[in-house]
Parts: sequence; structure tokens; C-alpha cells
Amino acid sequence: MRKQHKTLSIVVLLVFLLLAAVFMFPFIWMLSSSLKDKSEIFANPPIWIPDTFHWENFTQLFTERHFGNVIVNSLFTAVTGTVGALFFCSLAGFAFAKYNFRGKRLLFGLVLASLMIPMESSMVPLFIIYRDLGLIDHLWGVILPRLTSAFGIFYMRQYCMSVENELLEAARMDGCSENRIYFRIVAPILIPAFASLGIIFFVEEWNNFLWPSVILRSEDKLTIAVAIRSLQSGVRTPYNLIMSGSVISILPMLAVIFIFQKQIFAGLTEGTVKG
Amino acid sequence: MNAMKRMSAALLCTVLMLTLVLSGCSGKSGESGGKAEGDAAGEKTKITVWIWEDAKTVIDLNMPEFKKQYPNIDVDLHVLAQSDVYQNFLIAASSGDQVPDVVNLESLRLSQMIETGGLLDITDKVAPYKDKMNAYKWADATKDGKIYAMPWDSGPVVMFYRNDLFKQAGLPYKPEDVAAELKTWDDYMRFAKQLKEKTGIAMLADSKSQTDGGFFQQILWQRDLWIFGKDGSVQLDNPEVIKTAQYFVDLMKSGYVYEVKPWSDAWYSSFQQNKEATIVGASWYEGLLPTLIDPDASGKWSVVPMPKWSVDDKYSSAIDGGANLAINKNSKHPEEAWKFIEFMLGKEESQLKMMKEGGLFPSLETTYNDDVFKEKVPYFNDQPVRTLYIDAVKNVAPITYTKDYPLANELITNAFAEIFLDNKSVESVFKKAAAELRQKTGRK
Amino acid sequence: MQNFYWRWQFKTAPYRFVAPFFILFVVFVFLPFVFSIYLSFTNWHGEEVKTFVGLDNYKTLLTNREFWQSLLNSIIIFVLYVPVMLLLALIFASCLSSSWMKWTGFFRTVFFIPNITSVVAISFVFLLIFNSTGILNQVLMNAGVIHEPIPFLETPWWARISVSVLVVFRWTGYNMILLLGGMQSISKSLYEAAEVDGASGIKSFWYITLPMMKRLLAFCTVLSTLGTFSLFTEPFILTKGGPNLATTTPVMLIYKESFQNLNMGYASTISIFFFIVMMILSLMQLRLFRDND
Repeated sequence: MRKQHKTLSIVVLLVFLLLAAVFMFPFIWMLSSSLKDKSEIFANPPIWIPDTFHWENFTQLFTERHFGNVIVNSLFTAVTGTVGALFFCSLAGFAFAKYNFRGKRLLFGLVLASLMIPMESSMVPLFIIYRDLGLIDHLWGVILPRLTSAFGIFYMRQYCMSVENELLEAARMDGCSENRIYFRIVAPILIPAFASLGIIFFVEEWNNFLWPSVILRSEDKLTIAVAIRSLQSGVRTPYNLIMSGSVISILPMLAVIFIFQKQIFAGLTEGTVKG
Repeated sequence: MNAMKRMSAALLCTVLMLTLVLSGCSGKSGESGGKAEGDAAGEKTKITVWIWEDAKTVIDLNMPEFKKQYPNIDVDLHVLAQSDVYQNFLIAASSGDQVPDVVNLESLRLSQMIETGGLLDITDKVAPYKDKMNAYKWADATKDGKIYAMPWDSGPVVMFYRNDLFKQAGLPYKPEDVAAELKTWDDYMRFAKQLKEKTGIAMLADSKSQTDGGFFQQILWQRDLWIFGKDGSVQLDNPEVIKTAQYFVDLMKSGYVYEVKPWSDAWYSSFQQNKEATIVGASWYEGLLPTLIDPDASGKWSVVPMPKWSVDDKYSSAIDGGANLAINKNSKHPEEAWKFIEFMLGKEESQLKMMKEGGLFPSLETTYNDDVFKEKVPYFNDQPVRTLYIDAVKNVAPITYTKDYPLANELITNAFAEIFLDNKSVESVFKKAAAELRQKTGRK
Repeated sequence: MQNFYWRWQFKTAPYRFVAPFFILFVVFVFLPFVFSIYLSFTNWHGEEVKTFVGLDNYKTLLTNREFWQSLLNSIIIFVLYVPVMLLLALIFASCLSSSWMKWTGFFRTVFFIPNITSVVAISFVFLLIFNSTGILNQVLMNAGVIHEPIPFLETPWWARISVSVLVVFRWTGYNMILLLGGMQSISKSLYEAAEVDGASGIKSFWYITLPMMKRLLAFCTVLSTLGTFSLFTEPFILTKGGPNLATTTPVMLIYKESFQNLNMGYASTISIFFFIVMMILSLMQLRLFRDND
């Protein structure tokens, strides 16, 4: 019985290793293609490891395609968007969790209802509003709509529930204003929640594509996902450049998963299982 | 005082958001302010041109001369993917942007772009060139009697073929013999049959589900039929149009077409693998064949006129592609922009240089007497191929793409996919497509 | 003064705290949405004048196959990938949560990586892999499995399957994490009790894990529904919505009509219908969870 168990677990392990290889294959192929010459991309028989590594695919992105700017832009939008969204979501989540005020139920209902209007269904008019506000081709135009999230408010509300009321009352007795309470008492308690939710926001923002691709235009103002897509130009698509751009785009995400995986997994499960 | 301090802190979020919005706006006004200063100082004027990659390559040929003549005009050639040029220009036009000053537009998208109202009326400026350019080019540049773009190049359609493969199949292979024996599309089918039987090689390359519709539309144009009639009505269910589509379907179903998506990587490599023997395409293939499509096949390609539907037809060729330059309505430097356009497209020397070194066939007819057109081209076995383009461009039907062309083109691609994949009759599918096109465009 | 101020700031605090959300929501979602209702009654291509055309756009939408086709495509893609994805996620999660499994941390990370990496980047690699002359066809042909390349992106059904494979690749890890979270919340004593009663691994999975996970699986399914209807980047890069509209989703249709065909009025009409579809799905979601609670 026990022996059977052992062989079974080895078989399962082997199957999982095979599956892991399948899941990793696109990334390996991406890396391999990113170092190839244009002519080697679709070569038959396939080239697994190019004879010479064409590192110029990478340098070319920086010298000719503004990838230096692109990376800065992506970091700027992702960091600003994340910090802003965490701030606004935690404020609202705190209010919904710890205050009784007129219209609370209605307002919270509206937050939930807002999940029902997908951003995609108001792209056309939003585009016109952007034109009038002068936000087209501006990184702020990417950031602003992402500064709040109903999901984020919901998540923060759950987390704020655990803040003890006595703590807040004691602070009020001392004459603490509500703003101070938020910054001095609530925010420090929320740090783990900031970490989990923040990473999710950061990843989403870094990979954001549809709306940035609509409003960003100048080559030096693009974020990375849009910049990769914009390489698909010219008479013959330079897939080797697209692959090296892709490699650049996933490196920070790999760093994120290796450093913060605990927070990411916690963030995802808390957001849904409890909710 | 203390209360004031707290008050401001209390309004933190609102203020923060206001600054966010404001910083978005002020960033913009700051930029335009900077530009205005440059003007006032009377320094160099910078104009921005939105252009796609291969068009920039040929413009670059003339840049040294341009700089010599206009040392005070700085030209920023901003490269964008072709589809991005349209999308971005639409955005620029609708937001009243001053950038770009000049935009590069294909004829097939021109009407659509004029429709958005973002281009400058240059009727007076182009007046001296009205009679010097291919007449058909002006049609798509005109709306309500006003002209919005300057023609650049034309794409008269001819037939490129592989003489070595024709020879291998026992077919005539010298240009004069091919021209004499391959006169009609029936002849083309006959050649395709013999080629397939003797060598197993396909006559041309195209895709069942992702055709760009080029082959079919060129024959329509040649027959003076087109997607839209002269009165603007939808013609997709015209029996003659259906017959033309049927011809393409027959060619495909007989196995004479190598199946590959046009312009994909597999398409490019299929030429080196000798999968197909002809390209029925525009003069600009002359520039692409030796560089991107089939660089190692020097001497193996020849050129003859496009086959006709019937030898008695009035017109003998069609147009595929061709570009224009236009000025942004909100440009701060329309005069400098026009100087750039006129230098590049109106000047014979510039156009000839782009012809000779870039393979772009000029719309400017006054260049046609130049010796460069009689030159023998080494890649084509020393055949003087360019005289064929001149003959072709003089014999094209005057057809306009119209603003609904991009939509119609997509419907045609989908229609062929339906015919081939679901095995439906050409007539039923084209009737359906015609109805859809009528409904979406409000045409008859 | 101090006291008055304190009371004021205390009373207004919750309103001030929730205000940013509502301001942003009104400016970036609600107003545009109302505006798009107006636009849906006009014919507008980006020029200065918008022509009021009444219900014309709605007529076009309802009688045209495009919109229905895009809904149908979403449903087909949903049916193709959701069962596969959830089954895989369930297997992954239950193996990775069992005590005898080795390297669970490693596998969890590997399966999750596709979800946090750029969808644009991944779509382009799949474009290379699924190409008619791509690596997958080459390997299969060299191994003698097939003689003609499989048209992964060239026929409607293969194109839908390819898009589905891409979605499974991207989202299995995500669902696995959700299910893992659920499984860890099932009390260990339940399994111990089952073992005492002689229930084997598979039996305890069937009688304990699965029933406990029902609600979570339903949640994952609903999440996938909304995700499928707003699918954009994957088909946009992989198949451009083709062939013959086979992989065009509602959002792709909106994008194409508004920013490529410049049919802003018509695009707004599609947006409104898209909203209605999403609202119905969300309401069904709420209903589902209310009944379950």
C-alpha cells in the first residue's frame, strides 16, 4: 500500500515536471527568438540556440526605439497608479468599514454597481473627454482612470473591518482628527494589505494595453506593452525585436513574482475567498 | 491658524486630484508655448512628417538636396506603422493638434481621412500640378471641389513572372513571347494548368481565409467595374463582379494558388522556395523583389503587361496602392510644409531619384520622358521594365477608392473566407456582403 | 472653534474619504457612459458635426451579423477553454495542496508566471509558435505526426482553439491559486476523519474537497464569463479577430469600429449593447451567490 503510494507520487511528480516544461516553453522560445537574426525566426529545422547571439536586437530597441523612455514611462505609470489607487481605495474602504453615515448603504451599493460598467463601453466618449482635457498622449491619461477600483475598495473594506474600534475611539478622545487617525493608526495596520493589493495593481498597470494603446502616440511616450505592439510595423515584421522587447517587459514581472509571491497569492485568495 | 492648516489637510484628496488633472493640462500648454517662442526668434522652423518606414527610406534620398535649398527648415521624419499613421492622425485631427505638419497617406485611405476634416485645403497650391499628375490620383484627393493632398506615386499593375519556372514547364518564357501568348485571364488559367501539371508549382500565392483581396480587386479595377459604381451604388452583387470573383475562386479551387497569407513571413519565404511563379502586382514590387522578397533571384524575374479580361476591353491595367502627402489643418507651418511637399513630389529630379533608387513610380507625368524609364534593369534580366508601367498607367480606368473602401475591403476578405471555408456559392455570399455594405454605408 | 472644527471634520470624514472614488468614477466612467448613449443615436466619423440618426445604428446592429457573431464567438471560446482551464486548475491545486507532493512552491510559481507577464508579449510568442511555419508545426511535421501544417490561425475553428489555448495558458495558474486558497481553508480534521473511516485520496477528494469547492468553482466560472466577453488583446494580436470574424469579440468590435473604421456613433451603439450583456451577466452572478449563501 505504502509502496504503491510512493510510485504514484513519483509519477505525478514527473507529469508535473513535464507540465512545468510546457508552461515554460513559450518563455524559452521568447528568449531564444530574441537573440536570433530576422532570418532565423521561422528557420526549418528550428534553431533552438542561435549560433551567434544577436544582442543588437536589444541595443537597437534602446538606440532606435526609445526603450529607455519606454521603461521609465512604464515604471512611472505603474508606480504612480499603484500608490494613488492604494491611497484612494484604502480611504474609501476605511470609511465604509468604520463609519456610520447617511447614505452609506446607497453609496456602497453604487461602488458595487460601478463594477457593472466596463471601461470598454465608454471608450469612445472618454476619448473625446480626453481630447478636451488635453490628456491625449499624456501618461496621466493612462494613470487617472486607474486611480480607483471598486475591487480595491471592497478589499480594503474587508481588511479595515479588523481594525479595533477602541483604538479609533481612544485616538478621538485625544482630539485626533480623522485624517490623523487614517495616517497614524489605520494606514500602518493596512501595510500588509497595501503590499498584497499594491503588487496586483502594479502588475495590472505594467501590462495594461488597450487604453494606453488608444491614447498614447509619440514613440517616446509609450508604455512597454504598447511599445512592443508598435514594433509590428514596416513591410516585414521584425519578430526578433518584438521578442527582445517582450523579454524586457517580463523581466520585472519575474522579479516581482520571486520577491513577492507570498503577498501576491495572499492578495488573490483574500480578495476572493473572503469576499 | 491651526484650524486653517487642518482644513487644508482635510481637503487633501480633492486638492490632490485637482493637481493631477491640472498637471495634465499644464503639461500640454507648456509644450505649445515652447514652440511659439521658437517662431518668434525667427530661428529654424521645424516641421514634423508622419511617415512609414519604406517611404522614409526614399525621402531620405532627397534630404541632402532639400537641406541645401531650405537650410532654415528642419524636417523631423517620424516613422510609424502604416496603420498607426491613420489611427494617430485621426486622433490628432479630432483634437486639433498642431503636430504633425505633414502626413503620408495611401490613396486607399485618403478619402476616409479627408472626411474627418483634419486636412488643409491646398487647392491653390496644387493648381500648377493639376495637369502634370496622373488624372486618377486627384479623384480621391478631392472633396466638394477642394483638393486636400498632393499625389506622390502610382502603382500601375503589371505581371511579374519567373522566366526559369515558365521555361521548366515548357511555357513561353521570353517577355515578348509571354506577352503575345498570355493576353487574357483565360490564358493565365491555361498557363497555370500547364505549370501545375509539368512542375507542380502554383501560379500565384494568396490565402483562402485571409486574402487581402488584391488580386480580385485589381481585375475589377481593370474591367472598370469596382466595388462602387460611378453613381456611388454598391456593386458587389453586379453579375460581372460575381463572375470576376468566381474566376479567382476557380483558380484557387483548381489548386493553382499556393495558400499563404499575403505579406506574412511564410509568404516571403515561399518565393525563395519556388512555390509560385507570378505576382500580379503594382510597379512598386520592382523595389521590393530584389531587396525583401526574392533577393537571390536576379535574372529570374521578368515583367509583362497585366492579362485582360477580354482583348477588346477599353482599359488594360489597374492601380494598386500609391501614396500622397497632405498638410494638417492645424499646422503652424503650412508654408514650410508645402515647400517640403513641393520639393519632394513636384520636383522632377526628386521624383526621378525616388524612382531610380527606391522603385517608386511617380505620379508626376512630366518625368516619364526621362531616360531612366528606358534603362535596362539588371535584376529583370536587363529588361527595360519601366516603359511597361508608363503604358499601364496611361490605360487605367478612372476609379476612386472612396471613404468606404477600408470597410468594403474587410467585407471582401470575409466573403472569400466564407466561400472557401464553408464551400458556399460566390453569388449568395457576395449578395449578402453587398447588403451588409449598403446597410452600413447608407449607399444604394 | 476647535470643537466646532472637530465636529465638522468628524462628520464629513467618511464623505471626504469616499469622494475621490466617486469623482473619478463620475468623470471617467459615468459621464462618458451617458455621453455614449447620446453618441449611439448619431452618425459620427470624427468630423465637427454629429448627425442625429435616431435608431438607425440600433437597426444596423441588430440586423447585422457582426455583433451576434462576436457574442457567439465569446460563447464558443468560453465553452472551449473554461472546462479545460478549471479542470487543470483543480488538478494542480489538489496535487499541490496534498502532503505527499514535492516542490509545491516551485510548481505554484511556474504555473502562475504566465498570468503576471505581459499579455502582449505572450500573445506574440504564441503568434510565432502557432504560425503555419512556426515551431509547433515544424516539430509535429518533423516527428511525422502530420504531413501538412495545421492552420492554427487560418481557419475559424483552429483560430478559436488557438485563442483558447492562449487563455488557458494565461489563466490556469490564477484559478489554481484561488482554488488553493479555498482548499487550505478546508479544515484538516475533515480529511483525518475520512481517513479513519477508510476513505482513500480520490474518495475524499470527491466527497469532501469538491462539495466544499463548489461555490469557489462557480465564482471562477463567473469571473471567466466576464473575462471572455471583454477579451481583447489575445485575439487582437494572435488572429486580428479573423478569419471571417471567427475570433472577433465584442470589445474588439468596439475598438475596430471606433478607432480603425472611425465609426464613432455605431461603435457607441455596440458599447451600449456590450454594457447590457455585461450587466445581465453581473446580475446573474449576484443572483447565483445570493442563492448559494
